[in-house]
Formats: sequence, structure tokens, C-alpha cells
Amino acid sequence: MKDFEGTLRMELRDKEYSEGYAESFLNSYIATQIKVIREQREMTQAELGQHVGTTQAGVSRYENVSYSSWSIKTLIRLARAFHVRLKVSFEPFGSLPEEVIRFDRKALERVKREDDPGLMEEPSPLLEAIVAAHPRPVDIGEWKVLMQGGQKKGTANGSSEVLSQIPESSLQQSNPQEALCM
Amino acid sequence: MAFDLYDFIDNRGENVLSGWVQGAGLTGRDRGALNQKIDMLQMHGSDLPPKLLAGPINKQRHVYKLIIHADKMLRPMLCKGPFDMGAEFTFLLGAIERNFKLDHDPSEATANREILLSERKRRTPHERF
Repeated sequence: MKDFEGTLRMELRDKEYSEGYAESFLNSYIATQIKVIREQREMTQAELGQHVGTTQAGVSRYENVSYSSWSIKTLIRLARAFHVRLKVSFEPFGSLPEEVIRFDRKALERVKREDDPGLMEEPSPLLEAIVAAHPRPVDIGEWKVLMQGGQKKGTANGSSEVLSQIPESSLQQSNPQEALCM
Repeated sequence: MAFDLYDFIDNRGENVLSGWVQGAGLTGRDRGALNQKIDMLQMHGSDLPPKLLAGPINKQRHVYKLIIHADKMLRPMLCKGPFDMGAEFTFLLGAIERNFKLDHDPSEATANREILLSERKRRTPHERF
């Protein structure tokens, strides 16, 4: 992959070549991300079409790496249907190889606003400690249990279980039991 | 998963796709767009990027077109496999579309595929343009 990155970086020094590559990648990126997020939301093309005011055939046209007649208006409609924001940004050509290499299904998926960790309450030192003690992904239900004192089903006092996983140094500044009962 | 790409070699021992690129008078923009689609095919195959390949082409059961809209409408033709259908693609012929018509008959691509099936050595790892 390093060889590929170097080759592409060298090729992109040619102005016309870089424009052709970047514009083609842009169209491929948008079409693929629409398909990936639609599948992530378990929507059919017809259902997405209803949300954005087009037909199944219209969505099928968007989900085509060769489609290039994008309008900001259409993309905003799609963003609203997916419960995400649209970001349009001008970038230098030198950042393209990394984007090409990073491109895959997982990198294109986006959480809905309801599950958006960035919209949760401001993280407290305790929250950060819990995150540090749980390197694996924590689902929303488990997260709420942790933040409400760790009272888990079948556990007399879930908070002690949670506390045992938090590094002591993270808990020195406050009474952990009080903090867990926010 | 990365896929292996190959180019068909004609009866003079020349790489058909390289020969096509050299003779077709492609602009820098054409080459950039062409390599972008080929890179995507190599890195992701034809399942993740939607409609990266068109086909199979009418009456040619195994021939697909890679669709490139640049200064020219490039339509290199290829097949899956043909030896490992899930892990490789082989470019069989270069073509350009003008007024909705290809400048090469897709049956030429089918013929090249048939030759390849009987002479496994008639292909070489894909050469980047």
C-alpha cells in the first residue's frame, strides 16, 4: 500500500491528471456513501426516494459512481433523510492518497443523530475514566447503565463492578460513589 | 480485500490495454479518471462502489465495461476471473464510446477471453498507465 501511495502521490503532480483522478474519486465517494448509509439505515431505494422527493430510479441514479450532476440541494436532502449533516470542503490534492487508501465501507458509515456520541452530555472526568476502562465499543443501553450508577440486572451494586475497572488515579479527585449517582 | 488485475496479451505479444492507451490520445484528465476507477476495482472489486461495472454486455455473457466519463467516454472491457472468479479481473480490450456506440465490437472481448481460457499465459499483471 505504501508503494501505491507513493505512485499516486507522484502521478498527482500532473495538474490535469490530478483533476481527473480527484473528480472521479469524488463522484465514486458520494455514490458509494449514499449506498452504504442507506443500507446501514436498512432503507430501500424507494424509501429513500420518498424522503428526498424522488423515485426509486432517481436514487438508483445517485448510487452510480459515474453520476456527476450533483447539486448541494440534493445532497442536503439526502443528509436530512440520513439524519446527518452535509460537509462540503475544498482540499489540497496532497491529501487525496490517504483518502483513497482509507476508503471502505466502515469508513463511509455514519451514526444517526440519536446515536451520535458527539451530541451526548459534556464528558466528565468520570465519563472519560469509564471510556478508558472500556476499550471495546459500549452500546447505548450499557452506557446509560454505567452513567446512572451501574445498577445492572442481576447485580446488587453494579457501580462497584464499574469502579473496579476504572483506574484509581482517575477517581482521586471526587467521591466515586457520589459521582456515579449523577 | 484486494483483487488481482491482469491485461490480455494479443498474438503479437503486446498488452492490449497499454497499446490502446498509447494509441487513443488520452488526455491527462482521461488517464486520471481511468486510473481512479481501476484503483477502485483493484481495492474493492465491483460490489462496494455502485455500478462501477456495466454489464454483462448484450449477447456477451462474461464481458463487462468499466465506465469512465472524462474528456473521452472510455469503456475498457473486462471479465471477472476467468480463472478465479471471486478474486481477479482481466482487461480484454480498450474501447471508446462515441454517440452511444463503442468503437470496438464487444464480441472481440469475448474472443480474447476464449483465447485466454485455452492459453493461460495470454495475460500479464495489469500495467499502470
